[in-house]
Amino acid sequence: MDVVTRKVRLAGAGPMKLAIPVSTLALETRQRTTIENRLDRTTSIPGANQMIEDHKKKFKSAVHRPTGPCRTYNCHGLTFAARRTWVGGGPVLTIINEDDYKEISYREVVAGDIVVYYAAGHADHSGIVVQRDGFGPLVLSKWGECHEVIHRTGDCPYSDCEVKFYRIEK
Amino acid sequence: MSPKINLKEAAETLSVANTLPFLLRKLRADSSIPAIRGTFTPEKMLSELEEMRDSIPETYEEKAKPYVFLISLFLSEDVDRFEKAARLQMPQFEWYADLAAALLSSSTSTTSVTFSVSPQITSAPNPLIGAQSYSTFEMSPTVRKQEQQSQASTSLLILPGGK
Repeated sequence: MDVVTRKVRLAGAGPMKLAIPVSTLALETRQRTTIENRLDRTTSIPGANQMIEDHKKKFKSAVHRPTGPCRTYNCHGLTFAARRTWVGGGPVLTIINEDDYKEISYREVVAGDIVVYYAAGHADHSGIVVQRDGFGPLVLSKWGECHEVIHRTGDCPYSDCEVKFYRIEK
Repeated sequence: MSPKINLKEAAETLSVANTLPFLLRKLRADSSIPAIRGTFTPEKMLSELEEMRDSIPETYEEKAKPYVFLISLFLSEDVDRFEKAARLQMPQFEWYADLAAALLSSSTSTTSVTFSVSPQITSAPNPLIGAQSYSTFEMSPTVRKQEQQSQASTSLLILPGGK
């Protein structure tokens, strides 16, 4: 377990250094490639809850789940690691290739498939399709350090990305 | 007292950043960057960053501040000050070290060389050479101060046509 020293402020005290555990989980693809990750249990800043409220006002038609804020996991950690840990964008392409994901067309998408948002070749965001109705897919995703949101594919802070959908069949 | 820069947009970006490329891409296009560059000299940007070393952010605006200042300093092309800023230890700003490393690795050094090439022109032109003209490869030498950079690329400007 690594230890990260962070400067924190405790009530009634001045700033002080605390050792906060940051760890890595043993995570692998089906082909046993290690997936780099970071489990950071640092407490979120006081302003995080206000930021979530701001996001709720901006994205009114989304369903904002009563989760977060936290740095324990991010969008890729939700999509590929069952919320256990924070996974950066780097391992995503490896996971997709080695875990037997198959790219599918927008027309084929149904609940249970996943969506990855790309910009300049980087996997900036991902989520799980939880429903499809007449207006298209609804995606469950974690928005960075903030909370989980159920939203339309393009109704999120990552709407300038190109989206691709994937499915594991076996 | 430092002029106030609007960091609302940068704060929102930071709060939803899942990956470093997203954060870097969005912050580089943030409206606070030109505002900072128009307000602060590189020396002052570095000074602001050094003051943030011991700060503990409580809002996302406070958290975003070192990132936009670092990017602004990078874009100012003051290599010495940027490298000093990149070395600052600020673990309370989780993306700082990675952002600095990404900016450092994205900068490249260029070295230009001047030379001329003039192929022989004979009375019986060689059809393989083509027209009786030659091209001069010429560019003004500029060397960017990047002693620590491990790789350099040579840029070449080709001026077509006779001279």
